[in-house]
Amino acid sequence: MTTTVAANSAVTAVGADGKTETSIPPELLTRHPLQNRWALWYLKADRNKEWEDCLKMVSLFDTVEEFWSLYNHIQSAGGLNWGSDYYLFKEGIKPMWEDVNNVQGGRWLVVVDKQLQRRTQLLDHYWLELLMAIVGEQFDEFGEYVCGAVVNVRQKGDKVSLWTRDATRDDVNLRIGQILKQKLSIPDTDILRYEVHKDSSARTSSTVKPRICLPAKEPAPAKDKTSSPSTATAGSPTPTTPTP
Amino acid sequence: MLHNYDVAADFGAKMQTGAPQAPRNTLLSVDQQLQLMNTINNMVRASQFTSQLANTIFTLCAQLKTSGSLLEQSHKNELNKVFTSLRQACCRDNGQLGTPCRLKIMELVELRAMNWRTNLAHSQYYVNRPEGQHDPAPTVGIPPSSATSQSAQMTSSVTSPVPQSPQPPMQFVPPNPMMFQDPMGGGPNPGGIFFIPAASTWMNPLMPMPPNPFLPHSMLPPDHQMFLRQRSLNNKKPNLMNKTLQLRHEMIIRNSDSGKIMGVKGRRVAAVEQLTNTVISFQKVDAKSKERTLTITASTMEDIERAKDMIIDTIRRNMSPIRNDMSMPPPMPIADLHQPSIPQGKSPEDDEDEDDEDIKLEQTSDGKLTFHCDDPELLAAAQEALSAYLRVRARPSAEEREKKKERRKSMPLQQTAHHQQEPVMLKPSKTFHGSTPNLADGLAATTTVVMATAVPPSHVQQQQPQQVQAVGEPIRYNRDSLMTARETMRAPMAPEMLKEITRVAPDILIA
Repeated sequence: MTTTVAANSAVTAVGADGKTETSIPPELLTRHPLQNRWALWYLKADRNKEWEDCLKMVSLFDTVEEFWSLYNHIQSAGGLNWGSDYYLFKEGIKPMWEDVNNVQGGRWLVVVDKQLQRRTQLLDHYWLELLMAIVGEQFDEFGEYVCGAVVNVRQKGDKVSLWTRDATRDDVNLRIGQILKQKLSIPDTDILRYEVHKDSSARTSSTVKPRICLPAKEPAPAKDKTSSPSTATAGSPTPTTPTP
Repeated sequence: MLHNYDVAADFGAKMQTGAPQAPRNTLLSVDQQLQLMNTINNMVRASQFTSQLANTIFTLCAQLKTSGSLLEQSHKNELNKVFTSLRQACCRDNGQLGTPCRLKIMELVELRAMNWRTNLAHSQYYVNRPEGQHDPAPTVGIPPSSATSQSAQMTSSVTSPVPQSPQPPMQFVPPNPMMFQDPMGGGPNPGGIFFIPAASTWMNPLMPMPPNPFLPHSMLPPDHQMFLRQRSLNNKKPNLMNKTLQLRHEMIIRNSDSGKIMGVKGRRVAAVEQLTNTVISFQKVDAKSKERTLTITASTMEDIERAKDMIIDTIRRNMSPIRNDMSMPPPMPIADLHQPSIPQGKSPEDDEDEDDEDIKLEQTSDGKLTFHCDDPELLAAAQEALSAYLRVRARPSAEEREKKKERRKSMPLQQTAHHQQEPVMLKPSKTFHGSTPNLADGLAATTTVVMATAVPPSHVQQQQPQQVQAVGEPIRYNRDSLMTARETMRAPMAPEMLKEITRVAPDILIA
């Protein structure tokens, strides 16, 4: 007897569902184009392979809908294994220093304290906010200077960074950094650093001297520049005009 | 021994496929078969679950195994009719037909579903049924109709050697476990517990059937438009020592109703559990699933019944069950923001009414939330819970998103209030996450402040130029519009995208 009843109600249930399916609001069917086409890259740590061989392009997208369908269906940054990275870069820009679009550039670096209990949540929050900011072109008129975003999941401290095209344009990068700080709700107690890729690649110690800090350190960035010859080479006093 | 012989002979017959001369393969004519069908139809309609019906079913089953595919083409309507009758017989029968007969019906129903093409797993299952092999009942009441029918039965006896027509109507243990759900309902065994050995159902203690308390309930009014199916299982743990008997009952609800019964953070279902002294667990299902099984565990049938009624009622009203000792919880002052501030281990009852608690929660005009509490431990727990909640709000997990959707469905009235709270963002600060050690210090820790600021208004300002978008202006989406798009999106990943990711980086896909 149970079976009969169940069969009957199954029919009504299906009927009801059929009704809801027909009434999908039209806004769900339209697509919202993005300004740029973006590529998501994934790096899976493997010590036995070359770095570049670990790097895989996962997907390309250029609509809001695709962005979410990708984001919602993949592991969040905090859920990745140690040593893994995600990169979201504009199509055509490889997520590496050597790429012609990055070679003159640098990055805004956000470090997530490894000691925080809510490390993964904060990392996920930073990463998602950064993704939304770049695909949504939230960097005022400087969207052209943005190359992409990176998240590094590391035991010694996760990193989220925003890569920009021209390390010498302090005005541009400062503005981008301010927007980044605001979008990610980074408190003043955490200092954002802008690092020049050339410095990072040529580094000898584990830290790179930042070109810009947010909020600015006691010695102003300008003064900082004159005092250290090493950064002066990278950020040469005659800023080259960036290629648009 | 005879049985073994039968099996072998039957396999032999099957091997040499075309062996019509074998006497056991004697086929009745189509007309005779149709007559059998008619007899079954009539008897089932008249609820005559007699040994004669069992025999007729047996005969027909044996015939249909061979002729089914033919009749499917020539006499589809008749087949449909008799299958309806067979199904009804299964449902209405109280055990008179006997297990072998039921098995026969099952075998046949499955066979038809497989388009009359059998497969190894199917045949093996029925060949290996212990019921069929250890059938203790002697052959009785073979209808006088024909010798041919008897030989046909012999053919079918692979699964059950002899057609069963139990003389005492309750001879066989009905395979339906529902019959055992109320061991307290009486019966000869002194412990009041009867459990079925896994291997065989044939240790039959001729017990009178307790009335099935679920049958009336399964006749829910159809206009109820609720999808409920239920099945009861008694606990199969042979826990005779333990006096606290655990009964299990399953009911099936629409998956879309899950939220209605779960409530926010499971508070509703917790209330039901508490009020009815049961444990209710939800089957893990895919989000797309149409139905979902709830398992109710309790020590008495009454508790299960009450829980079931309360679940049905809760889903129908879409409101938490009303407690007798307590009025409805007061309207929540700041939407659902304070709901999750439930220290673990507290009973859900206490949470409904925070005024009774020693935690006081205030929201000031500048967006600060302040907790006051005498108990630093409780305060720490509340703070932890709230920060956990805010984290989730800042970036909800897939599961949370799903829950949120459910919550919206189940609490339409709160939606507007909820929406205003939406842009809560995480503001990491020392008081926010680093203060637990201080809290343990005692007196100093009577107040803690959590910053929950709204999204900076600059988002909105930036939105404005978008509306008057100049030609050269890039396409911008601010956070809010992206988040809105996310909320309204339910579409699965595009197949190409999925395919590519599966190929390149399957490890980042969330199942």
